[in-house]
Amino acid sequence: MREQLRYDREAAFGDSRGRTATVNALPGRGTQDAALMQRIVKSSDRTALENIAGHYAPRLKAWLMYRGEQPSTAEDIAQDVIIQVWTKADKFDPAKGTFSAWVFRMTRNCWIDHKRKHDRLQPTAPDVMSVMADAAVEGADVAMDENETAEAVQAELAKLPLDQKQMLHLAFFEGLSHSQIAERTGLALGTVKSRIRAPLKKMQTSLKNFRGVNR
Amino acid sequence: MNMSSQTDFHSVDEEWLASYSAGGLSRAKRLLISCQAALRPELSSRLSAMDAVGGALLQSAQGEAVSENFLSRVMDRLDTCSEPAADDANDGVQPEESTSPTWMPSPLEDFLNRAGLDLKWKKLGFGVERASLSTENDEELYLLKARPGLKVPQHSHKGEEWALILQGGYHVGDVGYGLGDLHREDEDCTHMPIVDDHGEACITLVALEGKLKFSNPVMRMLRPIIGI
Repeated sequence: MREQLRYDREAAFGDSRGRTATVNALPGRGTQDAALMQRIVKSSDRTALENIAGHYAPRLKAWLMYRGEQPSTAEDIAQDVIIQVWTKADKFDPAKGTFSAWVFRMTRNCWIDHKRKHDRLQPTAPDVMSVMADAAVEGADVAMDENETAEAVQAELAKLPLDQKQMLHLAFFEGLSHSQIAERTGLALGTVKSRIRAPLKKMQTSLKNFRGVNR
Repeated sequence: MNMSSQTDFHSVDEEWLASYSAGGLSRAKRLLISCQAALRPELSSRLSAMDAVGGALLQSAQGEAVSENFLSRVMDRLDTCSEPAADDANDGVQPEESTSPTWMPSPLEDFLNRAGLDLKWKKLGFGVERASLSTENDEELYLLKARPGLKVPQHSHKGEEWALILQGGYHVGDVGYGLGDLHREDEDCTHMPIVDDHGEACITLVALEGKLKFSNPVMRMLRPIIGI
């Protein structure tokens, strides 16, 4: 059973909207996810998709609600993502990275696409972000790089102190801007930026070392 | 601004790439990052690392309970979907050949095509031309073309300015910025870029919050006219 660490909303990282910010320990489910995706591709196995949806849909919904979406809209977008997992399953290559990174990117793109279609303030504002985000990381020549990246990132995340992990949670999962994180935590803006930057740069360094050993 | 020890080009620091990955950047800044990734494949690896972080945090975060019929609605929709391994309808179709200028990265070309925009360069004087692309929440996105050797008058900013060099280059003091470099400045900076004089104009894609603040009073008077 996974360790789950909870924080009161009164704590420094508390959620002003009433939800309790949590960060779990980081057991990988990469192998399990890859096997489930294989079953979807090879035999159109709906129970495999149910397994994936059972784990990820609540997390996608939370990710979307943190970005201001109403619960019903968040579920609609999460459904779109799960459907894309099914229809694009053959595009997922475990050699190119983890399923969680793939579905994270897909969720971001679905949300941006949703915003583009429903942004009443800027009805004609051009937005090609969903296309661009994928286009930027395509290419068979970077497949090994991405796999190495995923492994190095998982290893480094697991080693991070809780406060640094929490800082990344606020940035990546709750989607807070640097100034919003500063407001939430009471830290100076420069401190927030450096505390986000430090572990991420360390991961990049580890990745570089990792490549040095394996190439 | 950051010249990473792991790379040999200028880009933004990791906290900004994290914001990109989390979907937190403005549309204009996202476009600049995407264009830089197209010009600098090394940046793609860094962005992949960001998505890997986001994915790892996603898989282990606490979720929000979904409706009881969530799964059944998904399964109902699957009945109308193609099978997972079905080939794309576009497979085998040759993409149309690009007619865009050679300096234009594909994300910018996609942006213009989707928006139905044609570049309309407007001469601002002093050997500078500008093509507006969009404005959102007091952030302008535009292309700037400056003649070789131009000394841009000293100025500061009222907010963030991100500039991606698409052709040519310029120097700020001893620091040079060339093709594929992303130069970020904020309100704390005052600078005077000098366009490299190597025969070609410098073209930059700019995301600017607020307006420039020129030190020269004449330029301050001209600013509303030239529109930067």
